[in-house]
Amino acid sequence: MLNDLRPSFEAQRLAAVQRYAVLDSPPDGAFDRITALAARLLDAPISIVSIVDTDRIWFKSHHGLDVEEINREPGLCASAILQNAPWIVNHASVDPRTLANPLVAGEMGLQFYAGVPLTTHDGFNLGTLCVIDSQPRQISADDVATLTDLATLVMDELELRLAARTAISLEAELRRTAEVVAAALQSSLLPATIPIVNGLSIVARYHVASDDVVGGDFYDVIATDAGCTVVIGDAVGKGVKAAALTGIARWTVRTLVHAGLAPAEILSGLNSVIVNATDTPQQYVTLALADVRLEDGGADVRVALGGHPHPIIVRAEGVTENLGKTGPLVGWRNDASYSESAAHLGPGDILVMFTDGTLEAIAGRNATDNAPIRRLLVETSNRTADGIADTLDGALHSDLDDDAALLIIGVQ
Amino acid sequence: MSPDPQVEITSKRVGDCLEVKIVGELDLNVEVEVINTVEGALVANGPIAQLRLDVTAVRFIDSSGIRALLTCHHKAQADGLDVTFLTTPNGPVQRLFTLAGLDEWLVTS
Repeated sequence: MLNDLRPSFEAQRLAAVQRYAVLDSPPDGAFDRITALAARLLDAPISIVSIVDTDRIWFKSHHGLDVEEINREPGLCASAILQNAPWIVNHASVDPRTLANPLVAGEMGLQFYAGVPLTTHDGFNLGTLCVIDSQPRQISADDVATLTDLATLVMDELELRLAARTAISLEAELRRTAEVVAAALQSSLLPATIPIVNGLSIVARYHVASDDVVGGDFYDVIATDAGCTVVIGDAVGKGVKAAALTGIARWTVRTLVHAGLAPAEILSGLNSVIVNATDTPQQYVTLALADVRLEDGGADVRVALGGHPHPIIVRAEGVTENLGKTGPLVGWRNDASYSESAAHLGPGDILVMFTDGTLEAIAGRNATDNAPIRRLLVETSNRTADGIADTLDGALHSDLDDDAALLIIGVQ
Repeated sequence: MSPDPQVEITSKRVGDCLEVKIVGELDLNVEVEVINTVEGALVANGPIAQLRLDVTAVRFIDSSGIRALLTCHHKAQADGLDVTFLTTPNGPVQRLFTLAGLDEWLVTS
């Protein structure tokens, strides 16, 4: 009777079987070595690691028997897991517990069975390690002890695999959470959309070095009465601290732009804010800020730099020039001062701003000379804001060491 | 200690000056190590008037490396020390000092 073979707490026991995720798993040498060892040490032709499922007994390892699984009902392992001790049948055809069993009475002619339950640390019997013979026989106390030790080994292997699986899924879960948080934080530090400014083509690109760490680079485009103010920057450091600093920088710049300040004044103002406002010393950002005013036949640009790589102007005729003179890192010291540089952009001229991650990715480690980028800008076949963004993007290798941002302003 | 450490920092006292020589690559991996080692050397050497940071043998430096140097600079200045950087013209540190707009503000030789 099947019902007689159901241990109490069967639902929890089956849940434990599921938890170990061993059913229908591929063959595993560790278990095959244990069944081979059990058969040899106990001089038995057959040894099995069995797992008792809802209505079948599945063999994780079967030595000396070419069968993958049997029905649960006649299976002796189903009886064995009802015990919390080795289950021994010395002479099955005369043993009242088994004499009617089809495995005993039928073609298989099983006569000897010794099974030790595989018990989880929380007390559920998943299955057995058993040895089987077609001859009746006795088993010594030493052999029972050997079989019990080997069953413990089987259980150790199962626990090890469960622990590894748990660790992997936990790590994956943590990584997913970190990625979601980083993405949410990141999106709050970058403009959702870039405003449309008549007469200009503005393109931004952003690449983070790592999906689960929020980047320290940022950019912003703020529409003004005369055109727009564009800013690109890099908070020194990575992760949440850098992100907090980025947030301060981005919103302070926006406020100062709306107050009508000039680029150098904006950098000085932001410098004071960071020097005085962060409770962590030695926090700073690098920043390039350009005020772009549309004029007849082009745009006038005024640029201030704080410890940031020079923006590059690409002229319509294909020559490049560096723009700006850098002042110190923004937020480093109270007495910092910044200067402005001016340039006129004609139709077809393009202003290219980028962070040091872009410089490093294109020009190599230790690069402070932007010649490799300027060469790309001259050689590109599509000298438009989009074309230049694609060219620089294409030159970034996939495995970035640092975040990389680009902000490109083309005059139509 | 790994057999090939990314940075090696040695220090010696010459009169009232502590000379600290940094060899290797300065980035995020060693930022804290550099700061702690230099701070430790300042404490271990008692009252001194000058800190001289020799960065001529720094082969690579990024923004985190700059922050490490600036933090050392900041802490030593806060203790009343004169701080000087010994750099190689056109070397990685000097170039990044220029790029970061620091060269007018730091004493280099």
